[in-house]
Amino acid sequence: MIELRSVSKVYGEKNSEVHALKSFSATFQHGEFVVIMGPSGCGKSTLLHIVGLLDSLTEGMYLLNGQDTSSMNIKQKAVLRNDFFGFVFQSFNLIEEMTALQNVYLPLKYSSIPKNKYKSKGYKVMESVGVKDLSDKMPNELSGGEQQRVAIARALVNNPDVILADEPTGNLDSTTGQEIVKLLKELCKKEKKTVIVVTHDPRVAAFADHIIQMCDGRILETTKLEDTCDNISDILGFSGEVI
Amino acid sequence: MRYFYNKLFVFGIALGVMAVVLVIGIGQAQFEQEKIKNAAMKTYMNFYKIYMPYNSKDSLGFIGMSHEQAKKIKNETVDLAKTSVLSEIRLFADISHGTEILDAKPIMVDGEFIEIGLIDMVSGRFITSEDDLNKSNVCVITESLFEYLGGGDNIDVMVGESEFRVIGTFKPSMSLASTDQYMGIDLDRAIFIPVASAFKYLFKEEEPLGRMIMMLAAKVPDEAAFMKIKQLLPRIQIENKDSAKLTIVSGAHEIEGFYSEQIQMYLAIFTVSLLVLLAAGMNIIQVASASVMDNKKQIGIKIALGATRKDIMLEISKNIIWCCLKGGFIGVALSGLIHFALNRYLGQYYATFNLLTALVGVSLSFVVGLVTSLVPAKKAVGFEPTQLLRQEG
Repeated sequence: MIELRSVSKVYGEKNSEVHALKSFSATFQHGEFVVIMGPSGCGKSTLLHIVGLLDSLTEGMYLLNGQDTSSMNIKQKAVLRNDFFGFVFQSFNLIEEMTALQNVYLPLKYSSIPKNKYKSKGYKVMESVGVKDLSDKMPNELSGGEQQRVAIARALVNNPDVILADEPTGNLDSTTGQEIVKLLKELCKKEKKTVIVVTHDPRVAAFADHIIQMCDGRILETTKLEDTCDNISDILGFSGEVI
Repeated sequence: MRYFYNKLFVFGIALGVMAVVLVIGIGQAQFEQEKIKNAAMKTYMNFYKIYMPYNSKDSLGFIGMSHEQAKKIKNETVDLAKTSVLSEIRLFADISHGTEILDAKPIMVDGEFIEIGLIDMVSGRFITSEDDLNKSNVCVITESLFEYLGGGDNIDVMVGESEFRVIGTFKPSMSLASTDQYMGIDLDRAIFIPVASAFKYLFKEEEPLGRMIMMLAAKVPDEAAFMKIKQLLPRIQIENKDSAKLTIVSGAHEIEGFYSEQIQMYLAIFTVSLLVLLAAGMNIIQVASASVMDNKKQIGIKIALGATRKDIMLEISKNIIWCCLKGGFIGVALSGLIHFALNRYLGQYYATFNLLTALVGVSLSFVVGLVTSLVPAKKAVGFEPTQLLRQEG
């Protein structure tokens, strides 16, 4: 469980302070599909970076499975980023010089998994997201959707509990974007992973269990839905295909 | 872009290593040549005893100078010490009287030899400067030989095919008796003849040639004389530790001096190598730092995927070291080709290329990679990961 209590994040010096998050509180349950929405600059990515232990908070408390993250050292945070969280980015962020497979098993290099298992684990996870045939391709040989699938495979290779996706559909056309969101939803449902997606695309919210609307670093509205994706589609005025 | 950096990197290191290996190879060749020279010099000194001093209780001799040089020393030390000149050239001419071959050996001296006090005249006179200057056919023999020949006036002996008139007899002094093979001269069998005469009549030369022995009288231990001799014979070290006695340091010290010159030469080569390496190292730091700046996003991604600072530093260091090693191998290969060309077209031993130079080249590239990778690696881990992830590209 991820719990944020009155979290604030301030960038810059005293005279030029930017309050990216203002007393933000939220709890994300295990297996939830969380969508964080809001306009550009509202603090969505900052929130995701704090949750993913890439950034520190200025005030408040962040509890991860009940443990206060402020007491963790750099090494512990790196270990959690490696095996507890999986990151998916808007621009895929695959390493250009590596093949799809090498990109997928890259996180394993920073884990304690033996080297001889890299490839088998990589293939397995690529198969699960439907890109096994692309293992030898270089990123520039892949389409946007394929690259994002490879990126998702990379996020999954260490079997993380939480997937953090920052605008995962932002660089994709609507059909491909929907396929990617479906894939994330499937992971959430079948593998009971917590998926936190930052987006300003209302169509993504159609798949959410928990929606947080943000504005100026604060929560504008929180919506939790037990079942009904149809309902949320109605709420958001979106009638796309849902699982 | 990264491809370009890597190539630039490898190229820079290859040039650096090539330069270093060339410098070392040339230095090594130089060292080998100096070793050969040194060995030859040692052999030469053993055979000819260049400026080799002969110390005895009462006198001092230096072998290995020309007659001209010996005369110069004599002229410049005339007020400081008693000096004389002998010829070192061995005369194998028969000494005979009538039909009898005598058991004697000719020694060529100048007029001042008597002044250094090694000869005790028994009768007649010793050879003078006039005898030497006029190339007179005169000689001085031992008292015992004189007696053997029956004594009396106007005794002549034949030296080779020339006749020399006996003008005096001598008795080897106590000091000479103590060193009966003094400077290789058996004084009990000696027949002294003027240097110039001997060369004129026995070698048919107008001026004395070959190596001379410079003699000094020990009774005149003027420090200025030592200093003057030292100045005139630069390859000899003279230390006047005790003003009552001549002290010479030579031979081994000369070799030591030679080695110290070699050490200086090697230090110079080492300095040049270091400068080349330094330039190569600066180049690596610049290129690697630029590469790190260009790869900021990649570093951010890796941190997000769980890489620690140590992982990032290790990765960057490994990349740089690997590039350096590649450059090192290429540099060694290039320098091998240049060495080959130098030795093939410019002559042997201009530059040495062997396993040692190759190993030095590769090891240097490794060390340069290791040291220079620290700056960009440290730079890379200093970035904020969230900032890195916001980078374009």
